[in-house]
Amino acid sequence: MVHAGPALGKVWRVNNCDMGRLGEYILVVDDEFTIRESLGGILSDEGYVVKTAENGAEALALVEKGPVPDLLVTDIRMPELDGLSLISRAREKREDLPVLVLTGFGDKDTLLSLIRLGCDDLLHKPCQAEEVIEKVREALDKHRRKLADQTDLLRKNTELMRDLESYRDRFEFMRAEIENAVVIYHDLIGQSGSDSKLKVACRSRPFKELGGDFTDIRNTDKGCDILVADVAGHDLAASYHTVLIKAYFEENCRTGKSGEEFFTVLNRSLRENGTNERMVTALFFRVNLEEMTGRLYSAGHPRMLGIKQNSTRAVPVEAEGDILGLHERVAFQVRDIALSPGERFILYTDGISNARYTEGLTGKRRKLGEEGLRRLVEEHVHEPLGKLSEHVWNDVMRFCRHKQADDMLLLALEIPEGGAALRG
Amino acid sequence: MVKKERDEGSIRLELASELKNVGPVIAELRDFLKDQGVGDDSNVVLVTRELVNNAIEHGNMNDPEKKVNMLASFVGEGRLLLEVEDQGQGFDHRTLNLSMPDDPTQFRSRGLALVNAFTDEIFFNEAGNKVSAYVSAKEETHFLVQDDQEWVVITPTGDITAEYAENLRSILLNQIQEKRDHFRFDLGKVEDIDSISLSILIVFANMARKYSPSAKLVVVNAGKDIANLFEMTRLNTIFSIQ
Repeated sequence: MVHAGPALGKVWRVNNCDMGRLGEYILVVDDEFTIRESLGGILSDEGYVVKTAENGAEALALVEKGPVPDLLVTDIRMPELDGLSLISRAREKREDLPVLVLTGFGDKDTLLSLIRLGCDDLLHKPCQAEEVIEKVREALDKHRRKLADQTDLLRKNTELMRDLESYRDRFEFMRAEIENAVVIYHDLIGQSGSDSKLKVACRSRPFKELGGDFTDIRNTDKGCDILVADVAGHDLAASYHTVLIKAYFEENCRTGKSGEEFFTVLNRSLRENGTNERMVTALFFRVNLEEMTGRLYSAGHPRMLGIKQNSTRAVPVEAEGDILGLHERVAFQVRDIALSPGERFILYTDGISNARYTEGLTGKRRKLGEEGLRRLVEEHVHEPLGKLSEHVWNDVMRFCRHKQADDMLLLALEIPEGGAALRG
Repeated sequence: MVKKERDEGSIRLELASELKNVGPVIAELRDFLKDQGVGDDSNVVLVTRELVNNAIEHGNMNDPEKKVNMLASFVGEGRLLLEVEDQGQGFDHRTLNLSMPDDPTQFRSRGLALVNAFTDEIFFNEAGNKVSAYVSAKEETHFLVQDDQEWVVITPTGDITAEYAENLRSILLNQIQEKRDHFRFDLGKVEDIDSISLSILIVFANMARKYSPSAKLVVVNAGKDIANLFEMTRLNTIFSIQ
């Protein structure tokens, strides 16, 4: 019998099945002829492709031969292979096969097994056409939606993976940029103090890779200009300011302007540049080896320590001045000192004087302070400059138990014995 | 297998040297800390985990016959003494370098350096098979804001350092937006103010004075160090230290 479906394509019934373009393939299994015929008729009228089978074994043979049905409608009590086993075996071919079960009378055990197996709905015999049509449609719709969701999920997942890849690429790229920046930063900051007219020993350790403390020494025609600066913060912005300071310092040395002018210009520049929360403290020390004098300017920085040759005392050199970057107007006290051959100076940043540790048993905190640093320096006062700087540094590290809380910098200078005559 | 002994303010655990015992040890420790009112503190847990791992792997060479003994006892408010002992040969702790290696991929040398970073003090017995560490359960600084008539009283519960800077900044900003202009900072519990936080205080002071010429900024109960700090940085010209 040929039956024209609701749209294009011929639809055949019974054992000769051709998958029409619109019709899903439904397999109806029941040992009663009338059930098979009426269900088959109702469903094929709706445009579905229907095959029928008399019992579980026949149905299973059809399923295994293929194609696998889009929906299975089956009775439970059948000879040769009952409904439950059929469902179970059919699901081996297609895990998510939707199933409608034809029930004659309620049977609790069967119901329990059905729940466990999972079936989409029940059709009570005798079936009304409308109920059959509706439940079949629902079962198929639900299945279609689930498939769509799964495809959707897969698509979203693929998109996510692609996004992840691109984020990862971006991150790698930026990380490479940062690493480049660090290298460039260190190149820019790298010191030119190895051929200085003074003897120099410097130890430093930044808190993080970028930013923070800075020192530079430049020869002038009469001697040397020395700068030690501490920029608040350890971020990229801090390192930007550090490079700025170095540039200004170089320029200042070239033009020979005073420390006061240098600080004033620097202050203005710091205030102008974006957020005005960039605090800088610094020491500017101009050494004149011809006249054996030194001129010191301080921008709120920890005091420089001076040790005369053959002395056992490290004496702080007093010089007051405003911190840079915070105030509109800044003022600095100038401090002139006489230099003697072999005299040493220790310049440092507050990471050193703020070095601290917590006493184990009592929990009390102890800070090194200027006082503590002086004592450490005085312990090594008889040693050559390089050793002095190394030992004091190690002592400080031991004091804070290697726990750094800030950038640390220690610069030791020595006025040459013969004055300007021997060097430069 | 973990044996346990618990006391008023201490807990002793003995375990066979197998890494699978670390989990239960940490669980017991967490329990103990909770009972003592110390939050599930990552400091203490991290240090203990590292020390016990070390004892199992390096001290006892993963030999399940050998035991690791751990003792955690309170020595003060929020402060613990952790002791971990193994039955191994020990090692030469005198040559130990406790600073963090520059290369972050060096896992081996990081262990004890990590422990050092998170503890106040770490020391060894003669043989080097027992490590002791004093740990402070870390406490965050909060900023209490109260009203005293026309004064806004701000009391930090601890040091003002970079990690709390953002918080401080937004609190101060709020006050300015609410048109307050009399500020009293009670720095009794503050032992340290880092440069970032100082910057924030200064910017805040400038802002306050800009918005209200009659603004008053006062600091009370400052310890010697803090008072010194304000002097050295000339902040005592902006904040009146009382």
